Amino acid sequence: MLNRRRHHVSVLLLGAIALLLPLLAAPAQLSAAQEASPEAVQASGEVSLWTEFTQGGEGAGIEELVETWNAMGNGITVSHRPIGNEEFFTVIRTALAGGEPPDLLQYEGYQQTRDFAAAEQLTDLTDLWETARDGFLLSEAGERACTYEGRIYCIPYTYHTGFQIYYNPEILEANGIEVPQTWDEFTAAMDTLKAAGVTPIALGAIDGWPAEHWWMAFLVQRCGVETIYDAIEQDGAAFTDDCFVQAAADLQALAQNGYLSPGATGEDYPTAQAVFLSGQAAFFQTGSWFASGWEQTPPSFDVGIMPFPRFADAEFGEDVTGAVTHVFAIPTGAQNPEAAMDVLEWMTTEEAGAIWARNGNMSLIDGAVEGNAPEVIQELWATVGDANAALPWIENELPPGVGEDRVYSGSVALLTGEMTPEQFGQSIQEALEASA
Amino acid sequence: MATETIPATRSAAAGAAARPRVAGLAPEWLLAIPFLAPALFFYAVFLLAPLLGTLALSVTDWSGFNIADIEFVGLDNFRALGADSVFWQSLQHNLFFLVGSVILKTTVALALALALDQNLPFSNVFRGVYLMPTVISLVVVGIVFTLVLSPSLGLINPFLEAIGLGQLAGAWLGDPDLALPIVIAIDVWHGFGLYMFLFISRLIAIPQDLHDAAFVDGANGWQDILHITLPLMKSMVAMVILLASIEALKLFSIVYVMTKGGPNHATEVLSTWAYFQAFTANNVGYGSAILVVLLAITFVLAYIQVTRFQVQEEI
Repeated sequence: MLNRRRHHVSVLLLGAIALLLPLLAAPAQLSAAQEASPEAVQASGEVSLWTEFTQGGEGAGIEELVETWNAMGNGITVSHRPIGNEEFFTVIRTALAGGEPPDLLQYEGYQQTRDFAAAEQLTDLTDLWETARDGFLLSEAGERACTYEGRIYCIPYTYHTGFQIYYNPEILEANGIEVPQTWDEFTAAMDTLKAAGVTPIALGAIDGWPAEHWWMAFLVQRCGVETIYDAIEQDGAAFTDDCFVQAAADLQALAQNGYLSPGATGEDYPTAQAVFLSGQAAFFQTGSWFASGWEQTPPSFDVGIMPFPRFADAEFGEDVTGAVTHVFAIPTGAQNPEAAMDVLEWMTTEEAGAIWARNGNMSLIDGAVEGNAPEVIQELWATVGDANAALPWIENELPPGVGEDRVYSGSVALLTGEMTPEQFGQSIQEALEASA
Repeated sequence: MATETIPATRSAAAGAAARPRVAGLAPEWLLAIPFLAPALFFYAVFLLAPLLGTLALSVTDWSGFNIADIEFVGLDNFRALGADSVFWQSLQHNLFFLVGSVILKTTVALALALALDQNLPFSNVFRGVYLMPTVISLVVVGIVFTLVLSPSLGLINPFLEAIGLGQLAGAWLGDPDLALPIVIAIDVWHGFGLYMFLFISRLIAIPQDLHDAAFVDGANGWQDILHITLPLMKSMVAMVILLASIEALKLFSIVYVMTKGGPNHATEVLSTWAYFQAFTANNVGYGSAILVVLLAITFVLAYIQVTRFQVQEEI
């Protein structure tokens, strides 16, 4: 009986300990949490910075910016958290909704600016922009990325060109092909390559956007920037208009004529990049971010860059380059907004612009690229100066349910033959009207 | 044996009921609380709370950026599902995956379990080999198979060409007709090993006497399997079907890693479409509604299976 009683007491004690363990551990957890709490961060003058810059010129550039700032020893320390592009938006959303955003935030502007600002999650930076504006190139294009209801909510920081084509000179030379200037020359070159058993174009479009970027390159020639914006804003143009459908047909023809790498619809962008850089394909159409990482990891051959070939019958022959793509903002929920403002202000200086450009990025700060960027970036940047217009990636201007579903998926459907160009235009138009 | 066990159990229960409570000590159910509390705590925080949160969000319109913007919309999100062609496509894929994956996993696992139960040479080695895929992360499996299947950089197409079957080389995950069957095949390869082990554990529990009696009565090997082994495996088969069904409906990671639901929604399932709606398209309420539908299907299926195939003691 005594043993039984002892047993019960032991059991009770064990149970009580099991119950109390989390409570006993709680103070230790609390003190650890307090160390990282917003109050502690503010007291120590730390500014948390989140970006999607994990590698290449962007990764190296942001690290040098942070190191340079921290080396100043001015009492404000920046701590950078790089987050992979794929999960970046999810992490931002969760942080904003949970009231735990960073002090300084990088994102991609346009529709995101409008969404974040409409939810009152961004600090109004109009005053800072007014001060810094004169030191920026392409300031109007930058404002477009950052404006919501007439106010500026972010600072535009990087420009990317989008419509050039990278080529492998060794493959062209081996097949007796001159660098094509027109679309006819380009298709003739691709026919020659195909006949020689060489894949003409490396494409990895499982995520949609690499195919969509081809469509956009056709769009600027078929419709022109003004009409594209009219369609986005549903103001006198629609995605079902002939020029949009024609551009979709141009994209589909690439697949129908067998110009694309065999995994075009099932592989991703890094795979296509590897296909091109390993000499398995002659052409690769993508943005200037491809070249921005060459300082860190140089390609194994001398990559050529050519402007996107022109259609002989294209209605719009204007040069269109790319768009402002990276912007910085201060969330309204930032724990250390004053310090974040100091950091952001410094980032608009020539010194910061030079660092950003030196690492292979097209800084929008006047003179930064010309004086500091690697040669290939300077070459690409020169095309920006020659261009008549800039056009953001269309998905950044559309509601995400339209841009990242109908446009992305539809671009792939054109390549697999599951959709006609007319259905593609119709699908985008319907979704855009439904989201209005 | 059973007739001995039941009275013994009853006797113990009766004894416990009749036993007088020790003065100053709590009843036994009260003693259980401290042991259950930690598990209940985590169950409530990490399962019940998100579940209730999803149910609550499914009747709202919310972009996901600011909690103050949550707006109650009643059943609007569920009504909108009717007109969403991708939702129906995803549901179809889920059901296709459910049927294909469950049938294949169960069949392959049972067949191998029966084969390995015959004490063939190297049986133990093969048990380990077949179990190995199960212990690898599904994400890792997805990445590796994506690379292997890559038409540009992978191994399959060059292999087919090397053995003179170049005409079979294809776009694999880039082919809308092949992508889903490929994902199912990979999921089956990854998951059948665990079920095979469950079947083996059940096979071991079947008394040898029953087999011996069958053979004495003149049964051959196939008849023994058909009339002795398989009927006694019924409860385990039901259990495996239930587990594989739930696993198939929860499907997310392998699809997300390998195709992200593409090409053009060819492998889209409810969980990936809900994820897209909630975290990319800024429709958290609508994404939650999709998950509620998935949850309802899972519950119904589990209920039917549990009630229809009650685990019974055959021996």
